Amino acid sequence: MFTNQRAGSPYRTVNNYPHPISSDASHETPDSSVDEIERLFRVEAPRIERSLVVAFFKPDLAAEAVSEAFAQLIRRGGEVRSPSRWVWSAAFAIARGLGQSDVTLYADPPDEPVLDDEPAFELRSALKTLSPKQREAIVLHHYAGFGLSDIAKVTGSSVGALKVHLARARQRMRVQLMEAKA
Amino acid sequence: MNVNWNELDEIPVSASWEDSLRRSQTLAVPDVDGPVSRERRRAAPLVLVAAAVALVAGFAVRQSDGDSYAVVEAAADFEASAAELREVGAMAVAGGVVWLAPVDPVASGRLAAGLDIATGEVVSTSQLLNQQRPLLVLSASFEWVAGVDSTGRVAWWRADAEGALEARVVDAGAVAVELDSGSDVAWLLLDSGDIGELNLVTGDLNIQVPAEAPVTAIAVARDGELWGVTEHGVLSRGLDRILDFESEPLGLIAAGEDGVVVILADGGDDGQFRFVSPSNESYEGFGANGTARAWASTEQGPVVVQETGAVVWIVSPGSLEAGVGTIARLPDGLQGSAAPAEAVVVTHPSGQTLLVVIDTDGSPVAVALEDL
Repeated sequence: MFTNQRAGSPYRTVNNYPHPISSDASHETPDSSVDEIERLFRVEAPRIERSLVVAFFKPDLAAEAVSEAFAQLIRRGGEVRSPSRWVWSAAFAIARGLGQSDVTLYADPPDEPVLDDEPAFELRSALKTLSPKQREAIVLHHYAGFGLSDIAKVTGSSVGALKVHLARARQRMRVQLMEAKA
Repeated sequence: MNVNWNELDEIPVSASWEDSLRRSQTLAVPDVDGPVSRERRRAAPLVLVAAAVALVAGFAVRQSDGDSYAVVEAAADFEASAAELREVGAMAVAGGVVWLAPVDPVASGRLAAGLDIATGEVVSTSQLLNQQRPLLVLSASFEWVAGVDSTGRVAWWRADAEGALEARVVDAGAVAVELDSGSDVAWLLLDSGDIGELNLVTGDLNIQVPAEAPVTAIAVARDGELWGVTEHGVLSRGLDRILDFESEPLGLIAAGEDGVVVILADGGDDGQFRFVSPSNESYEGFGANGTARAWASTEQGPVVVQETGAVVWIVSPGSLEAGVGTIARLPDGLQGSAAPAEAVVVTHPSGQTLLVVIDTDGSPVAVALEDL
């Protein structure tokens, strides 16, 4: 389970991970591994970032979290058995960690309205009415395609709790989208 | 619901591979696997105590020179004032004044009516706070009152018979607040409609406690321990999960003597109570044939007001032998169509202990517990 660090910087300094371009060749991440991660980035990073954007409604934080997550993945190299799932989890955990210094992250989203000329206006407007946990759950499930057990690992929640999150989120979104169409 | 989630693919992105590669060359790596240690969590309440001291330091308990109580006599005035509220959202006592907050959206944020216990006078009927929604929860300790509105905004204010002297407002996403007079800690229950998190906040401290279900009630015992119960019936003491009552709804919780918590297992079934002792044993059997609607703590234990108007006085929670001490009925006002909504116990300067109950229409009844 990933838990956020509340006080101080969300970063810690570590020296025990291989450096991809270190002068010490014995600690390098193999070029092939970096190439694979780059391919993974091309496939997953946009979806992760978009998921973070609509989960937290903080675009800058989303891009930051994605960049950091992939940076960590590069550093960990072959230590990560399932890079795709790992980087999703890391990005969400980092986003939460970055947002911990901002008390509004877990309160309401920023007050700026979703503009009607923005992509997916109605969907984003409906998502904005959800609570943060509901947004995380429904975005990871319906957009990212995660199963409940995987979402539980990403969010540090339980499957039972997620079911409730999803049910409430769907219910609220249904109302919001119907009102929007009306 | 037919939602085209692929619409989200149109959202522009800005993260770049080159940025990740550059970041990977530094030694700073986010701590994504560093949970707050249990020891740190356990230490947090102590920090909260220290932090909260600043909240109430310097404000002595208000003393009154009154030598007779006029609550009952003043009930007519009080009722007239409360009737303007239409519906009372919350009730608390601080500084010798019983405070009410209305649900009426016209009076949003108004700490609308106060009743001075010593004089029986209605005070501060129009004190406005910088709130935008009705206050739904009130808690009080010494001269401080804290309220939570329907948007989760929390206000603390120092109040006495002159009204609100100062207020502090925090946009916290709270659903409940509990001011603990024993340790001067302000506990906020933050949930925002979510599940799985019980956040305890005072000042800028924020501790997350896993709860895995909406927390329906919190209470602070005299030993300073915070107790919480979820709608799924899980009882936690501090950060420890104590009992799982499975699916039984637990509607009310009150902290009693010696850290013992009284849970009123309710939900319209049988009106029974359950006591949970510090040794984590569960007892039940104090059925009183009625659904509990309001309660208040006294030196002698919780007093419970049932929807029928019956008053159940639990002399010593946690002691099976003590059981239910007194069962009586409120004299007037609470046996009609309206149900008891809130109850507080006030110690009058004369030494008498008064139970003030207000019903869902805003009508108050005040009685001396000694008379029950």
